[in-house]
Amino acid sequence: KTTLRYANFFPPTHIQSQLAESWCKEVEKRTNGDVVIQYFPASTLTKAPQTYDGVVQGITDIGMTALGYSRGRFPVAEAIDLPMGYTSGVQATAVANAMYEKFKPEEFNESHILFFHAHGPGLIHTRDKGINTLEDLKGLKIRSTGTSGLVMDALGASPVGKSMRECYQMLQKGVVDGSCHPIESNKGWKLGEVVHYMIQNFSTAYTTTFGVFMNKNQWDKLTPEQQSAITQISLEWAVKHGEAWDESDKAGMAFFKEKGGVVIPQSEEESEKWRGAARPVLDNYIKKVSEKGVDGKAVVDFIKSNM
Amino acid sequence: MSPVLAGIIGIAVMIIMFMTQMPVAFVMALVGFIGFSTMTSPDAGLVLLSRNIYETFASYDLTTIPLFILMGQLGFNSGISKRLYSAGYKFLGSVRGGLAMATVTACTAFGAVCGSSPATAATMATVGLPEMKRFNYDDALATGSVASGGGIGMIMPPSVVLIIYGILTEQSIGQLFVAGIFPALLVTMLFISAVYITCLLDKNAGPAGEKFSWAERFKALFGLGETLIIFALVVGGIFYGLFTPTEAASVGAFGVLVISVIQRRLTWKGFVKSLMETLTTSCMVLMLITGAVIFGKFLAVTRIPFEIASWVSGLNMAPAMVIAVIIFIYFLGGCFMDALAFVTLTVPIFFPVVMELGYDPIWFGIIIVMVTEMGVITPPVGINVYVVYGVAKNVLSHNVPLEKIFKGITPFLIALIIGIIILIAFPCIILFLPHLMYS
Amino acid sequence: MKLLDRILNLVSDLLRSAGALALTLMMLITVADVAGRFFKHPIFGSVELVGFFAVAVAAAALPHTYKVGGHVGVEIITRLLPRKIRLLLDLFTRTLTLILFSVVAWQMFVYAKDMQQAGEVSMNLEFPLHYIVLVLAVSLAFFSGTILQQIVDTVNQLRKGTTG
Ligand code: NA
Ligand code: NA
Repeated sequence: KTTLRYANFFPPTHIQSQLAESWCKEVEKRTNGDVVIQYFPASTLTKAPQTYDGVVQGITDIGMTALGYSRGRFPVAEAIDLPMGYTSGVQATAVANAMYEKFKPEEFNESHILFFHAHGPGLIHTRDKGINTLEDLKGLKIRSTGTSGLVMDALGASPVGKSMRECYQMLQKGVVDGSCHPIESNKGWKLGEVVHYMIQNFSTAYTTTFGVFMNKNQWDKLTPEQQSAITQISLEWAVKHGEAWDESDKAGMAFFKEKGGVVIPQSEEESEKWRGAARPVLDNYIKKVSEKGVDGKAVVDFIKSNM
Repeated sequence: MSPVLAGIIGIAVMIIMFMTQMPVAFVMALVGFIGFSTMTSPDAGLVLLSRNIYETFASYDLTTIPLFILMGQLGFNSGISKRLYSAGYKFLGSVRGGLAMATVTACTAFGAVCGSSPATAATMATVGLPEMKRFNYDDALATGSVASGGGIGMIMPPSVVLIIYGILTEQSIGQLFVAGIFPALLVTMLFISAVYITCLLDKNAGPAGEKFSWAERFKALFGLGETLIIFALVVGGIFYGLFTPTEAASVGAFGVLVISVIQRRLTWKGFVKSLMETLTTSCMVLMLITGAVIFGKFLAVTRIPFEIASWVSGLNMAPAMVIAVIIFIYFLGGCFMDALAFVTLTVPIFFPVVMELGYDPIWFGIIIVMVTEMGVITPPVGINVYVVYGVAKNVLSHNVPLEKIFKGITPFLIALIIGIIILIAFPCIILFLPHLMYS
Repeated sequence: MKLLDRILNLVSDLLRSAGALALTLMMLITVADVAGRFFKHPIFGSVELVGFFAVAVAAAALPHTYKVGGHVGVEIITRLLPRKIRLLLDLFTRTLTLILFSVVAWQMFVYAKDMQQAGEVSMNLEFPLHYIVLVLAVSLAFFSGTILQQIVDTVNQLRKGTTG
């Protein structure tokens, strides 16, 4: 009998955490109770930025975290988070897994990859002022980190790089004018209480990729039957996670509207304009990773053709 | 060895090692490291040590600690805190324990700016301890009031614990914050009563001074000027959205610096001294937190918190009894673990049980914060007590023994228990404001 | 031994000055960010910079804080013991502390190397994080030196206690 520890930063009430927990139960079931998984949600074992390293080093055996927390460590997979213009979590999740299958980037060699999932379109939400044109966005202080920060910069806004934890307070008090986040967070992080406008900037929507990783030694210790059972379950669960992101987006949208939020659509013409303005983010990525010997253009093109 | 047994042995070893006078922070880290290594592997334990030290030191949430301490130090070295207490003394000096009452009230006011309880305790100890000593207050009362008063910062919004509770249980953080205001005031009043009764029982605890005329009192109000400006700057800045509560620490420290330089009350030497003292105190506080975090990881991996929580959720008892058991468990948990870590581990399991029994989620959140507040002052792992002990060693010319601080805590602990009972009996104290504002 | 002592003291003082500077910068960067934000020009990486300096503040204070006994220990029992036993106990706990922190320092160097190889950078400024871990590792190494210094000191006190 093998006992494994699984660390996740999502709080246990979050659907993404509940799915991870049901993944654990399913593994136990399909291995006839030979593989038991102790589940540690809400960063109780490793915090989000240390989760990947924790899996590699053996603090935990399995971990789920956002790739963006280990900036620079995953130059190829980083491309998934770029403003490709995502429209759903199912789409982003499929893209992430397809990208991994196609390129098998060596940056993941230190761990065993179980699967990836990614949230729905990250959109701009504002507090006091609706954003209709690119000009409206000029100089606004938008909370955004990592890739979304780069996008805000490219679109002419002023990115304020604070974490989600601080986001609620900052929006409530007007320290920032808005925030870049997936629709889901309006309910999940209660941000719908403190933002009033949602801009449908799908053409520049980014995503955040989450990976589920396993310690290599622990993986090698499993029997081939156990391994194939876990691989199969992971395939099934990747889809469930993607679907769950979309369900959460629906709930987030309902919550946002219930709080009196206004959704601002974007015309075809305007959204082309935005796409163009965000283009340098993709170009810069390609340039940056080429220095590391990664064919960034191939990765970006592959993702685009898989949208 | 069963994980639960390992956990119990770990706690026992930790308490024994505390008695050797090895620094508390190092004991927690060492026992946590060895325990974690036993439960997993030595390699994992080693990695855990280095990662957690880095993580705690680099944590943006904790950057408020050195900056608030610096603010307190600058206030101390420029004489601002001295004038503040002199003014307070003119008004309250004739009441027994008056300065301790004022200190508790100041903690609540400071809590409106600061969301972290060790930061509140460290800052208020720096400012308050030398002053209460100056007016011949007993060390037990003085240290007890800053260590306990520091915890009010967790109930008074903004509060880190409430944010985490809100996210864990999907409750409105705005409602939780609003709900905390009256309980914070209730606790303040109870703490003031605790000071009053302590001074009734022990005439030397907070000796009454002479009575001042109203003319003298109003003259002393000028000494409050700078404090009021800084407080208005910080609270106003947060309220009007100029900066976040995390940033308020920097703004506050900078404000004190500017004012004391303009008034020519801070010399270069005083400035350097403030910086150096801040380094020492911050290092001590951060190491304490690191130790508690590492020890907490060990307890998490034994799964004791999870086991206890699921045991309670299976209990078949009257609702009030279940609540009582849960509170008792939080009390015990708070004794041995960093209170915030214990909340994150167990709230997800307790919460559905409590909802099933028909209690209000906002109400339960405030009750949790109240018990967490007890956790920061109860032995053996009581962060605020150690923080105040460390600061006292630094700012007073003599040593205050630990048991004296624990003795000083006792009346406040009783006050907290009474507060919890009141909040259970009259939930409307918690729910009145959120209902008024959100429906 | 004398020379080593002097070097360690010098480093401890230098580290403290660096820590004091880092603390001042933490404050100034945040204030500049707040002011900049008011005029629509926030400092994008301010959170990260403040976090980096926070590491420097705590790390730089490690040797001095230990030397002046700034860490909190429970003296309820030790107070009642005779001086010699207290010193022996001191020697024991200081040795444990030395072992613990030499291991931590070594692990921190390994961590820095791992981070460098992984190429991890900060989220917004893309600053290589292994430099920050390295600062912590170096401070921890000097901290271990300080603990050793205190152990030697305790041994000397013990010697004096038995001969005199
Ligand atoms: Na507070
Ligand atoms: Na405690």
